Amino acid sequence: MDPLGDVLYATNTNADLSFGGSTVVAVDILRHARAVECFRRFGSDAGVVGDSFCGQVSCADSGAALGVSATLEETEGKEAGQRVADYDRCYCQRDIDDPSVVSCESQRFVMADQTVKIGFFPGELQLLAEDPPNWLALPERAALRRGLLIAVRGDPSITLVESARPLRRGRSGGESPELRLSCDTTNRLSDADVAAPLAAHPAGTRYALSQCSGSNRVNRTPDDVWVNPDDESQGTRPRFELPAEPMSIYVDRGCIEPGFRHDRGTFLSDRNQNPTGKPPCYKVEGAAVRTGTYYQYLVSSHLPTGQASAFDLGKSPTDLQAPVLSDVSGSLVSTTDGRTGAFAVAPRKLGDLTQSWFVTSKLTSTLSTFRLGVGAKIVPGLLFGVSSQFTNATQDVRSIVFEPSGDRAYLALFQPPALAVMDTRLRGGGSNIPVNQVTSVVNLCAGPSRQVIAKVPRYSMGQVVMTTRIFVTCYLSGQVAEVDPDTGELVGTLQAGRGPLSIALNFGTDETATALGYPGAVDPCADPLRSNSDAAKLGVTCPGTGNDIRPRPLGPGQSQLPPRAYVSNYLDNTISVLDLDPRSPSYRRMVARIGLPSPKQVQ
Amino acid sequence: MRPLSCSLVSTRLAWGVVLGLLASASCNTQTITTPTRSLDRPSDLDLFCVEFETKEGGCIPSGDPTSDPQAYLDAYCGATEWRNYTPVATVLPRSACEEGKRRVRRDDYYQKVRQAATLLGRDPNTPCCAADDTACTAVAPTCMYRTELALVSNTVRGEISVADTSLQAPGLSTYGRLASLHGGKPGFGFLPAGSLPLHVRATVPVPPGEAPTTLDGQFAWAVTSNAGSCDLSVVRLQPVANLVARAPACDDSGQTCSTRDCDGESCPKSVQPWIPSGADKKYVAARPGWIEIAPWSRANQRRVVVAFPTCGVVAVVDATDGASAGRIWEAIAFDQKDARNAPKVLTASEIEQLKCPSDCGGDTSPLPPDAMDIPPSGAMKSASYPASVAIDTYGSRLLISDAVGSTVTVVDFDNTKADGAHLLTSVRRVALDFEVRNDGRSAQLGLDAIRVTPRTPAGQFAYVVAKDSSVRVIDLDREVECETNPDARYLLSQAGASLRVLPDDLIESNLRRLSCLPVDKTKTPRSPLATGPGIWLPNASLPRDVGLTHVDTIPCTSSNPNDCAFSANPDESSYVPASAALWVGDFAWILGGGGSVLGVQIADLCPSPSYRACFPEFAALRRLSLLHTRSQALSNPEQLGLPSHPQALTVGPQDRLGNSRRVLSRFDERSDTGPNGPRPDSDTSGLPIITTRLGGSLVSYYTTISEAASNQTRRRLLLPMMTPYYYLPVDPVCDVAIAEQALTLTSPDQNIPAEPTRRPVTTMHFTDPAATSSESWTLGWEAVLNGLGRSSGLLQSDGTLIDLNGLYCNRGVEPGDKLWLTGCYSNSDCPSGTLCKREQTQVSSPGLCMTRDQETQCRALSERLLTDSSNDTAWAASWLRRYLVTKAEQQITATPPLADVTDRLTIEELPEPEFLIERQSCTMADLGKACSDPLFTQPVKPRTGAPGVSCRVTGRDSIGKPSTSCIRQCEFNTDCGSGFVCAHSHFEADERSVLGQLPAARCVRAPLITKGTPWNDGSGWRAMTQDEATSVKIACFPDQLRYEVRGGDSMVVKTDRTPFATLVRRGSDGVCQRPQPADSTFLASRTLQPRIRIGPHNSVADGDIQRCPSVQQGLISHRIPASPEAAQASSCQSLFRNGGTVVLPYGQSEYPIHVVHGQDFYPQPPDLKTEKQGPRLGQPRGGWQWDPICVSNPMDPRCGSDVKRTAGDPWLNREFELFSMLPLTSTTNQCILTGQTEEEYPLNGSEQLSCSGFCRFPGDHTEIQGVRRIHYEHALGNMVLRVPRRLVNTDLPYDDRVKITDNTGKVIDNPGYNPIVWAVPPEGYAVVFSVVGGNQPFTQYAQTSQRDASSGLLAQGLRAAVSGLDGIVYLIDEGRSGSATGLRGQVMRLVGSILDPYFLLR
Repeated sequence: MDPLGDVLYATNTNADLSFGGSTVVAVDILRHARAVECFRRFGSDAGVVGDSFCGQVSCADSGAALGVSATLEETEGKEAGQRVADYDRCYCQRDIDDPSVVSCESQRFVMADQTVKIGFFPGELQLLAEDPPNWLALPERAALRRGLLIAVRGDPSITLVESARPLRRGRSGGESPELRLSCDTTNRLSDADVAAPLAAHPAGTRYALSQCSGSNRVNRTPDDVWVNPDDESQGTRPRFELPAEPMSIYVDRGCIEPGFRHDRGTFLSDRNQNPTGKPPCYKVEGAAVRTGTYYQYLVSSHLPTGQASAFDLGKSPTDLQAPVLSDVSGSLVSTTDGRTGAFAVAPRKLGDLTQSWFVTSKLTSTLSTFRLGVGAKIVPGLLFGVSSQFTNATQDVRSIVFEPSGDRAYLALFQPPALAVMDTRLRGGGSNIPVNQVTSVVNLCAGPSRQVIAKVPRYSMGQVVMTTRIFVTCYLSGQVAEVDPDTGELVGTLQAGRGPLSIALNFGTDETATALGYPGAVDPCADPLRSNSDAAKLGVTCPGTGNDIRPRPLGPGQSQLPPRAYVSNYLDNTISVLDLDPRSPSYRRMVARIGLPSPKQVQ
Repeated sequence: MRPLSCSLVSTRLAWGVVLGLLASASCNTQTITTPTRSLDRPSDLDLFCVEFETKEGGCIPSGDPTSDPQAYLDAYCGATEWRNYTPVATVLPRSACEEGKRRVRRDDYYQKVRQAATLLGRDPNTPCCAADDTACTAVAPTCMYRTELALVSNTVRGEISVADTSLQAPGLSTYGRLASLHGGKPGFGFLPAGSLPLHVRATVPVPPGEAPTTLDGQFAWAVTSNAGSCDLSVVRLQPVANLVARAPACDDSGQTCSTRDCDGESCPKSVQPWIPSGADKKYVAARPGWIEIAPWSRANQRRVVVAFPTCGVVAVVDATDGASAGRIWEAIAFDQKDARNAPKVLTASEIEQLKCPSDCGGDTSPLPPDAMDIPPSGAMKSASYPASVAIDTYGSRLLISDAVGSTVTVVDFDNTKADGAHLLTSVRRVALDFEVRNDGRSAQLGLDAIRVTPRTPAGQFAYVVAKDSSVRVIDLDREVECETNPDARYLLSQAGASLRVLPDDLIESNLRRLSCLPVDKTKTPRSPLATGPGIWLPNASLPRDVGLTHVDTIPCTSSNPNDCAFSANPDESSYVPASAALWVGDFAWILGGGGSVLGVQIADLCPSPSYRACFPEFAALRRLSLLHTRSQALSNPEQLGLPSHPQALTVGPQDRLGNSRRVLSRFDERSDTGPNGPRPDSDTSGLPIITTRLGGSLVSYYTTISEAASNQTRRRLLLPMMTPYYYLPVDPVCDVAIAEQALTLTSPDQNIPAEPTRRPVTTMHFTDPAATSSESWTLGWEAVLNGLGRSSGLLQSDGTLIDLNGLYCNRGVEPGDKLWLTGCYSNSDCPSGTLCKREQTQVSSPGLCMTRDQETQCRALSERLLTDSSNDTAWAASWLRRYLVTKAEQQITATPPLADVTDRLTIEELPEPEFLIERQSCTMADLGKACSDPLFTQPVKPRTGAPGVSCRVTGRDSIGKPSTSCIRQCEFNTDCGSGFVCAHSHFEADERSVLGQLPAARCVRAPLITKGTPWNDGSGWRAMTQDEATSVKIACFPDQLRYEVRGGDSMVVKTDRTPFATLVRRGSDGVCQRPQPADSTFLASRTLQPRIRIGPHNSVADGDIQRCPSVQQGLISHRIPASPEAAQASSCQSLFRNGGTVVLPYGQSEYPIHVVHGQDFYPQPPDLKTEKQGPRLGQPRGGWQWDPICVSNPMDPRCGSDVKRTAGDPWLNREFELFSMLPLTSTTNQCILTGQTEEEYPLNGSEQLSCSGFCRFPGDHTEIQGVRRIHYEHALGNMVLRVPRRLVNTDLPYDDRVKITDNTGKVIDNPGYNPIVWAVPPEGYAVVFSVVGGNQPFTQYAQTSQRDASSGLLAQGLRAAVSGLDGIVYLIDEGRSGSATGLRGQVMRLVGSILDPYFLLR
């Protein structure tokens, strides 16, 4: 999810090897929300209907009328001369099984001319960004940059794809975000290039595919060592090569020195954004401001070897450099028969190098910990297991997510399908070792895969409290489970589609982490669950109400996109849109799809 | 009732269903395809009693059975018509299904049939079988039976299943039959409830003060709390029972009887809670949690106590049909903002003001919430979360747990009051010893389910599931939390007083006194191995619920009453011995992870040990027999019909504790090894088996030497070893000992002097046997501390080593430990681009990883640190890089330029000799003076002109002042022992004013690379600068390196299964230190010390803090004074009834056991002078216990109590060294038992040979004189380590008066005799022994026998436990199968202590 909550970034795995590589795409979910709303209003029949928000068009004039065999270029040609987005509703239809669900063809919302080709089988994707904190003072069309870091299993590599977009306040779903994706840091667009209007794709012409430069696909250390120090004639080799199949990645950033803090906007010299001129890392001691050291590291787990590798991502999220592989650990997890299989990886606490990182395994319920040293060095730590909660059979911990405080972790176990809530508070006595005690186990739908954590405000005991919710995708059952970890209860099961895998929310990110802009965090000025005054408490100044950055599918003054979950369905080739607004009659229901589900298959 | 219209094939329902489990599974021969599963994530269960009676069809003949019993039975057994009729179902009060009442009803109903059978000589229970036909399998018509129907809530389906717990389902061979309540639809259907029904409760309301009657059943009802739809579902049970009733013929092969949907009467009705709001209703849409039926419910007034966690309320909801359905009459509200305030019983007007969240959608509250609602510090977590409720009907109390808090709220109620006034305002809270954080951003721990026990002889208790993975116990009489993990040493220290164990004649006293020790860190010390006061599961999994069970009697399955345990004249072979699995009394089951269920004893009325359960006199006999062991003098006692236990066992308070984990009793007998009690593994003579190893090879810890004068041989201890002790086992309950053990004296091998060879021998005293596992123990000399063999150390140039994940405090590093920089052995040990650099001369010591350039640089620089420039092979890569750890730190900021928060060791050089016990002490006044002790064994002959051994500064004390000791000086590396190099020390800066310009160099393991260390830069010796130290570091230790931290100067104790916890705290400055006496963890930390330190070189004087006190001075004696009330108990007195001659039930009368009073053998202070003589065979005895008359007749008046005479038994007097304990408040866990007199080696061996008393240890018979003994207390038990003097050369005659010729032909003193030097073990030395008979918690696994495709599966998600009648506990497994066809939940049950292998709902 883009921090502005209006664009999704997705990778296509090309698992069936239909193509010559995989791709990274940007999906305009604001445009999709507009299309769904307009479809609900006016349908997709022939005849000119519409209003000022959806446009007055006839679907008979749309490319959809050409039938399913028409090419993209042909449909564009038919719609040339009109506002293309107004025809989006013509590509939508109601689901046969559940007419309340609107499915729209995905090509309308995927920014086709911004697709980037990467290596085979991308794994996880992480987004690194830090937008300016004062949206009010930011010039219109100011350049906003995001780094998309992708574990590409087939290369193997960590691939950096850059996203750059101009600030467009009050954008409606009918307008383009003018977002550019590229995979070549050496030919990075300047701020002026980003600010310049992006010419619309000429109707009917072929789309170009961006390729990645070699420097953006990192698979080795930059320095060499002798192959055989006793025989230099054998030449050199990289000090480390990236182990096979990078699976899960995690980006961490903060200050190296304990007690130092990083504030949003402190990379900028603009006084509007950094009024006191603080350095990226600082500590106030009386009247003095001490300068610390900012870091941003990436860690990757490796499925077949059980190793972890660490990358240095440079010194700034707004001027992101290609990752530098700095360390490769030995096998962190292994079974008694020698097999390994590292899967998920996450730090106990973001932005704090003193804290442990945790690695899960696909083959054993043992979790391994390590610490990340300066320069992104991996130092192994303790091992512990969670198998006692289940049978002695092999566990498969597919995902681990921590509370922002680091005091609690959530483990999604694939088999048996369960969510384990683990107390990861530090033990007494000032030690740095977490308790690592499972405090509750929640039954889940079959095949839990990925999970996200959200902090949602709710009324409880008559007061507003921040409540934690965990959303877990269940690959095998096609559902998303909603868990209240405070009580250890499954509070809802949502239908999503076949093979749900990744999930992204447009709300509910923790305030502290949001200020740092951790992957997937939505800006408080775009979060439907936060008011502008909430954002101000977090040090973020939102634009005025007239022309804000809240995603409003039908444009300024219209309703904001409510709390939604976007779930990628691996087997359906769709992205499901789930309604998570408690006030809505469709609360905890799927309301739309991006893409039409593939024909059902017998598995 | 209507007859079936379909054709029937006769198959008779087994009579055995009435008998429950006893019925044969082979009755049903039909092959019917049965669904593999029907339940779907069950969450809870409740039961109600129903009687099914088929009144039509002529099941019971109407004739007179006495006139023609055969004809009567023929008519009865041949009747089939009744099977076509649907039986009448009658819901009864729950107690009507108790086993006794069921039997009475059965016997009454089938009276005529039974009468006829009796007249014909048939078994009335099998009236259709001829008396002599034992193979008969005919089943009698069962037209009436009582059963319990179970209601099971299914969360996924939102339905309530109904199951008959007695019947078999056709096609299945397990008991328990789910009823299909679908009409005309495929598959099983159940009663539709709301979404996510979490809890279900059923009741038959009985008017208060009245006995239940059969008429009450018609008002029976049940309720579920539906978390998904935020409502309750209420259902009447009589219509449900009618719905379930089916004609028996429906199960016949080929029959298809239609099933029925529930209707308006039998379908659950939704009840939406509401609050009066003026004339309107304000519906509560908050998620309901736990429910209980209010005890004040009446037939026409259904009331449910419902927890609404998100609303912070526990409310009483009206579940009666009609307009008031759903009304909240009463409520207890928790403080909305501050959990520290007590909850409050709301008034009617306050109830009207309640605001609850809409958890199930439809929330009209603004989103995002008004920022003004959020506190200035940010949004808070819920202050309280009342998750569970429990009702104590005995005490009229309501107990409420807080899912995010640490308190249990107690609210009294009054059944007699009107609605709105039942809950009394005397709300109070029981605070549990439980840390919660409720700061809005932290993990939320809290409490979960509560279960209240019935009133037991031990009291009444509440079991509370806590989210720290423990179950807490509250004594409801005092409303205090119980410490379930008291320190075993504390219990032993009180075993003669308040925590005394009385004989089973006085079992009520034991139960009450030992049931609950209140949590109080100052009064009830906690076991060092426990992390809290609660009960935790053996696999450390999360407890989910607690099931309570009460068993009245020992079951008897024999039809012959004389075979039963309680018959008047039982056969001894039918005795049921007390054992862990025999449950009579009150017990609990804790449901855990991995399908495990842990047993808990609340009030064990038949505690182990006893030959015959629940009979005190047999318990006394059994305790006596447990004192009897195989021994050196009687290695095969079983041949005499006497017990041959490998080790004596005695009962302690720990064995009688209530409300603690039930342990697989250490008194339980195994056919091969006898009782299970933990003990060091022993041989057939009862002598401990211990091996000593050097690396991977066995090595002998003693040698046999010859005495030159007498030509006799004897054994001499070579290496440190545990000490074996004879001891006299005494039963502390009756204060009785076995006379033969107390009195018999023989020579173990007919050569050495007499010893008490009938006594057992042990090397370890397990003070906490309940926590001891069977495992291997290792005492390793300077072994690697757990987790501290690492490869990520970075040596710094300031005399430190840092490691990001060293975790030195958590891993227990202490000053005095050793750091070994192990480095590499081959290139494969090194990172890419570097090679392993070693010298050929290094043999087996490791080198360093470096590049060629670094090698050149490192060699040149590190050689400057040594005095010996002639040797190019001595440099950093070839040093034995070992250092002393002087400080360990964790989580400190590294020295710039590194900014990491890291863990750090501060190190210091190690001079020669390395070990403190080798170094003669000296003072600063002696600085520079030669030392007198011949410290070194190698080389025998020092170089002429070598500087020798001198008093030098070798460290700094705790306040930074220089400390001194005698170390070797040198000029060349060859002046030093193997593994040392010659270098100057930075300590010379402290010495210069005394020793002159450049003090002599010293032998060290390796020079310290830090600023200030002297080095020779070519122009002479000067202190290194920081930059120079850094350059050496960069050249020699450029990258991360392998290292080990080892316990310094000590034997490191390790166990291979029990994780050895250490308790070293991180101070606020990051320095690791053991907790100080003022610290709350101090007591727990004391015995969590894995190092047995072998002490200083010099003997420690009496009264020194390092010396052990005597029992009189402060040791806690292991002997427990006799309790007068116990001595007067009948069971104890019976042991002395026949003059102290006892015949055991399973013994042979010709070999009785003679007993004596334990107090007559009370240990006395040892007398160093006289104990060496000791008693001798054939010599006059010093005490009565050696009198032959007393041996044969201990009760002779002349042999009466005279404790002073026991001074003649040196072994008895020395028991305390192993068995007694240091005070609980001691600052240490070890002390030196021996002083200078005992540690002084005798002039020659003749004294050793002539010793006849306590001068040799049993088993190895090595010497006592000249050996240091160290008393060591581990969390699990005590050991005594012996450290001998060094014997250099065992080939040489053992006599210092003998001169020998050395290699040069010169006559020199015998170097094989060196009484000064202690025998420091070689590197890699380890003492290894096994502990066998270890204990384990009594655990069952929720898994039935494999009887078909969907049975025999281990529970994956035990969720709830429900107590049934007759000691049954039902287990609800919600299942976690990920496959669509997999088992998605099952219900099993425990009967007493056993999982019923045949009962299964799925």
